[in-house]
Amino acid sequence: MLDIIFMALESIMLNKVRSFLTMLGVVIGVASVILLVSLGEGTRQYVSQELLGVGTNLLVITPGKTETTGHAPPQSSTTRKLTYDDTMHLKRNAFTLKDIAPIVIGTAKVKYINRSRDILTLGVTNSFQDVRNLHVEIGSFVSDEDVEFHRKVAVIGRTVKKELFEDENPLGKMVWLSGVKYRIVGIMEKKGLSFGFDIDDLVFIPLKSAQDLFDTDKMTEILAEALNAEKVEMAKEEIIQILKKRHDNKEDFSVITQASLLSTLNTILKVLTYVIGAIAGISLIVGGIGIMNIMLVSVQERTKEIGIRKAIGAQNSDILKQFLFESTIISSFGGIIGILFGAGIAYAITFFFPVVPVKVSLWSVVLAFSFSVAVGIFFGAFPAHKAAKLNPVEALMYE
Amino acid sequence: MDKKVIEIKNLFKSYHIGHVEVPALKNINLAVIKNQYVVIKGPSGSGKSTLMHIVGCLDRADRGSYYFDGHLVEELSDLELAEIRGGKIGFIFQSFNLIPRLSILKNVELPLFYLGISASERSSLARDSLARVGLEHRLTHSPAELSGGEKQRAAIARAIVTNPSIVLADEPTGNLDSKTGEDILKIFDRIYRDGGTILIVTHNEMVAERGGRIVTVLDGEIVSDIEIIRTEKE
Repeated sequence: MLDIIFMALESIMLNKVRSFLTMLGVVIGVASVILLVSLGEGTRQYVSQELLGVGTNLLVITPGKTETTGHAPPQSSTTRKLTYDDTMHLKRNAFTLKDIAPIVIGTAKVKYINRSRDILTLGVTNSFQDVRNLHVEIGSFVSDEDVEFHRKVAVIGRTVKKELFEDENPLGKMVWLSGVKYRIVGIMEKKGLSFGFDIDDLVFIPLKSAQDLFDTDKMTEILAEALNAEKVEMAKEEIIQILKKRHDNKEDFSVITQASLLSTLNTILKVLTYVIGAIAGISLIVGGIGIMNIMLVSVQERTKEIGIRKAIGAQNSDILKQFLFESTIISSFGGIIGILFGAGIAYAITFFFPVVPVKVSLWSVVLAFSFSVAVGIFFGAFPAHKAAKLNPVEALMYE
Repeated sequence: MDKKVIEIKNLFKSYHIGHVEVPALKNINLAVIKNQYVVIKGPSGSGKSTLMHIVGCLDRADRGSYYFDGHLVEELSDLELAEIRGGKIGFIFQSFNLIPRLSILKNVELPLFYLGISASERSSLARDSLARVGLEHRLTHSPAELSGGEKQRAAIARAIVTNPSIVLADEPTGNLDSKTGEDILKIFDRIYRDGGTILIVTHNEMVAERGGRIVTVLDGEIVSDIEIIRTEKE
C-alpha cells in the first residue's frame, strides 16, 4: 500500500509542472470555497452579534401592515399613523412590557458657528437609552420633562461631536437645528458602525421637540422592550390587542420582534452562504475535469509501461490503484494548499479590513477537503479503469 | 521424471482485421518439459510471437487447450493469469522493456513487488539476481544510462528474480550487435545449466543453434520439431 503511494508520488514528481498545474485547478476551487463560505459565515455571525447587541427582547412597532417575510402591505394607502397617545396607552396598559420608546426620525441641518451638516435626528424619550441599549456618556440624556416641555436640548453622538466641535467641549454650547437653537446637554458613548451605519453620527432631541421641528404628530416607530426573552411573543400579542382596540379593530401596524428578524436573517444568510459555497464548488468540479484530462493523457503516455507491468505480474487492481492514488494525491494536495490559501486570504482580509466580516469555519474546511479528495477519486476513476483494462499484448506493442 | 511446464494441444488463434479472419496459429501441439532449452524459429509473420504471447499468458487462444504447470489456462481468471505471469514466467523482450523512470534495481524488484514481497526481501533478491547477470555495479542507474547489452542483462535479471518455472524470450538479441548478443546467449546457457527452462522465439539462425530443441513455425503451423543431441563443449 505504502509502496503504491510512493510509486504514485514518484510519477507526480516526475512531471512537476504538469502536476502543479493540474493541482492548481483544485487549489483555486478549494480556496474559493473556503474564502466565500468564510465571508458568508462571517457576515451571518456579524449580523447575529449586532442584533443580539441591540437586545433580543426588543419589539419594533411600525405603521402599516408588513410582514418580516416580505409581503406587500395590503392597505398601504390607508396607513394609519402611530401617535404619541398610542405610546402612552401601551405604556399604561401592557403588562408584558418593561418599557417603551417612541421615536420620530428626521434629518436636520445641524449648524455650529460656521460648520453645518445634515444629520439624522431622532426625537426620543428618556426610555430610549435602556430600550435601545445606547447610553449617554457625558452630561445627561433627554429627560421626561424635556419631552413634556418641548425643550430645545440635544444629545449628540461621537461623530457629530468630532465633526462640529473637534476638541472643543460641546456641553452647554448652542447649535442650530434647521434654524432652531438647541443646547447640547450630553454626548453619547462611542458605538461605532453597525451594518455600515454610523450610530455615533446621530443627534437626539426630545420627542415633542422633534415633532415640532419636523412638523409631524406621528411616530416613525415605537420600540418596546419585553420583560424578558420568553415574554417576547406574548408581548407582541398584547401590543397588537391594545393597538387594534385603539385603531378601530384594524391591524394597521406591524410588530416585528428582534428574534424573528434574527432568525429570518440567519436563514437568508445561511442559504446565501451555501449558495455561494456551491457556486465556488463548481470550480472544484472544473478542477476535477482537469485532473481527469491529465490522467487520461498520462495513461495514454504510459500505455507501454502498463503493458510491461502487466507482463511481469501486475494485476488490474494494481494498475487501477496506481493511477487512482496519483489523481487522489494530486487533488488532496491541491485541497490542502487550497485550504491554506483560502484561509490565508480570509485572515488577511480580517487583518487589513477589519470591517469585512470573515470567519473560517471548520465545517467548510472539512467539507472542502473531503470534496477535493472525492474529486480526485471520482475523476481519476475513469482514467484508472481505462488503464487497468488495457489489453497487455496491445499495450506492450504500443510505441 | 519429465515434468511438463507447458502443454499445448490443438491450439488455434486468429485475428480479425475488419471482417476478414486472419489465422495466426493453426493446430499447434507443443510440450515443454522442465529444464529444456527450446527455440521457436520462424520468419516474421509466422505466428511465433502470437504463440509466445499465448504461452506467456498475455493472450488467450481461440480453441484448444493450454496447460501451464498443470493448470488449464483457459479456466483461469485474469487475476490468476496475472499471478502466473508474475511468479512463474520470466519475460524477456527484444526492446528490453525496462521502465525508464525507475532505477535498474527498482525495475528488477518490480515483479517481486506485485507478488507482495516485503521491501527488504525484494531488494536482496533483486541484488542477487543482478549479480547473476553481472550488473551488481549498476543498481542505481536509470535504464537510459545503460548500454543495450546491459539493458538486456537487467531485463534478464528481472525475468529470473522470481525464480520462474520458465523464461520466455522474444528475440532477445534482436536489438544487439553479435558480440553483445553472444554475451546474452551465454547468460541463457548458464540459466539452462542451473536447471532453468527456456523458451526463445527468434528468426536468427545463430540464436536457434543454441537451443537443445528447435521448433520451426511457418504460417502458423509447426513444421518441424528437432531435438539436438549436443556433445558437451566448453
